[in-house]
Amino acid sequence: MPGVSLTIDVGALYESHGDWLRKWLQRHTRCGHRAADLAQDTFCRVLETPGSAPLREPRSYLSALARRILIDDIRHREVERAYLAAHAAGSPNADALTPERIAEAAQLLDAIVKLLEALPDNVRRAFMMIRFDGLRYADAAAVLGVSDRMVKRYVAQAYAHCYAIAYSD
Amino acid sequence: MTMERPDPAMPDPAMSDPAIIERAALWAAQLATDEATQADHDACEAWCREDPRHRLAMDRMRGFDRQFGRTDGLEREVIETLLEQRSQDTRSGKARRFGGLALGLVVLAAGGWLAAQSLTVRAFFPEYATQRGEQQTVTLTDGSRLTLDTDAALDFRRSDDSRTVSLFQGQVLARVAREKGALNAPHPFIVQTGDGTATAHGTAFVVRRDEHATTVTVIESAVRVCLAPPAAGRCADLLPGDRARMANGRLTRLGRVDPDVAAAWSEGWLAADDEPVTQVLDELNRYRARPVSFDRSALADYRVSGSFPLSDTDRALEGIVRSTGLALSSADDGALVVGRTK
Repeated sequence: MPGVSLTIDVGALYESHGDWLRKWLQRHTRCGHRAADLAQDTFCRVLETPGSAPLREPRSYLSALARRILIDDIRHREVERAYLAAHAAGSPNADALTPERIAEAAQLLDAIVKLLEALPDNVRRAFMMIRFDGLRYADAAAVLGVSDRMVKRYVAQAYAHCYAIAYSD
Repeated sequence: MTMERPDPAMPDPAMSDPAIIERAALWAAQLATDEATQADHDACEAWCREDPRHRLAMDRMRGFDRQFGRTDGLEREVIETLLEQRSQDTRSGKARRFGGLALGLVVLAAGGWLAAQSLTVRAFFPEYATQRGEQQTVTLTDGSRLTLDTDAALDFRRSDDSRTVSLFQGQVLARVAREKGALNAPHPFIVQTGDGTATAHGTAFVVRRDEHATTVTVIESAVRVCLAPPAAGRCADLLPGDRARMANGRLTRLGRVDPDVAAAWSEGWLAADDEPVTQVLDELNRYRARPVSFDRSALADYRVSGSFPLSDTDRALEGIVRSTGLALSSADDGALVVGRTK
């Protein structure tokens, strides 16, 4: 079974490079706990990425992966901060905000932002108006100063882009 | 069982055909506002029926919609703010804010960054999902059929060496299609959760993902279950009626069950074979919009046997109450309460 040989590889990888990776991450985060978490995430990612069993230079492979995960983590924190800031400004009722609620919202928002952030401005604005603000095509067209048909094409473009990001492997 | 089935030797096809994605994206745009007519919806449905790949692409588009629809007004503002910020950052080259890391991002973006991203992103946009109280049977592109139980979410991928269902939550019955056309080694059919995997060596099995554990029950043939990392490598082989639980890196065999009882939910029945009534009520509550309440310790000694309809959970509740000699009443707020007769 192909899955089995992969898991053994990752086990061995963890044995021989786990400590090194944690130290590498600690240098970049200056926080032991966070480094340990991110190292864990890195090995999970190795397992999740099919056919990625690292080959000749495991350390450069791992550090490249860890670098992406670190960037991801920084961006995720940014989302969390933005969510908390909006909440603080919008509603004085802090009781509704549990750690679970924050984590869940931040994950959802992070995922959505990842899908949409690389879109060209007009496409993104059209999509937000139609999909999130509930505008009709004619209204969005008036705001953007283009035809209805053009807005519809923008929205389709946004959907295709989401698809490409989510199902690119 | 007969069903239209694509050539099983074909690789997971929906992604590789840009024409299908483009068409599905156009449909999604067409149906995105309340201006869409019934005729539009019917036309889209007709297109989906033409080819399972059309259906898959469309299901994925709807998966995005479901998640976009989950956001409230405040969250939308946050999304808008973040997107504005980031698009400005990109324009002014302010990505440098990530220090020495920014260059790495740019370089990696050229090679495979998206592929590494896609799994984490995808968990939030399941292709198939059911509401509370809803069940749904879908035919996958390989011809296998999945029955999703109440409040479930999953994803299906087909790669060169396997067929994988990622179960994010809830319960699923998999009826695996045999790959008749495959002359080479068949593609194993795997259901994976955060706790571990279940690999089919035959046809039918149930995987259930609760908050802290995954339970696998074999209905027909055999299944191999394996723990997820870091305990990876620990596996067990299960036969019909066998059950195993995977949680926190531990794999435990549970008592055997009647396979028919274990799959009864997929036929719309809640089946109990001399089970504690509290357990059956917990199970029923998974399907109810308004859960019924009960005093766990007061009902601890009551047991129940029988089959109760999931399509009408009020009627199921009456049936459970009747067969146990318990009583059903309404609380002040209108919620139903099961208790002992006075």
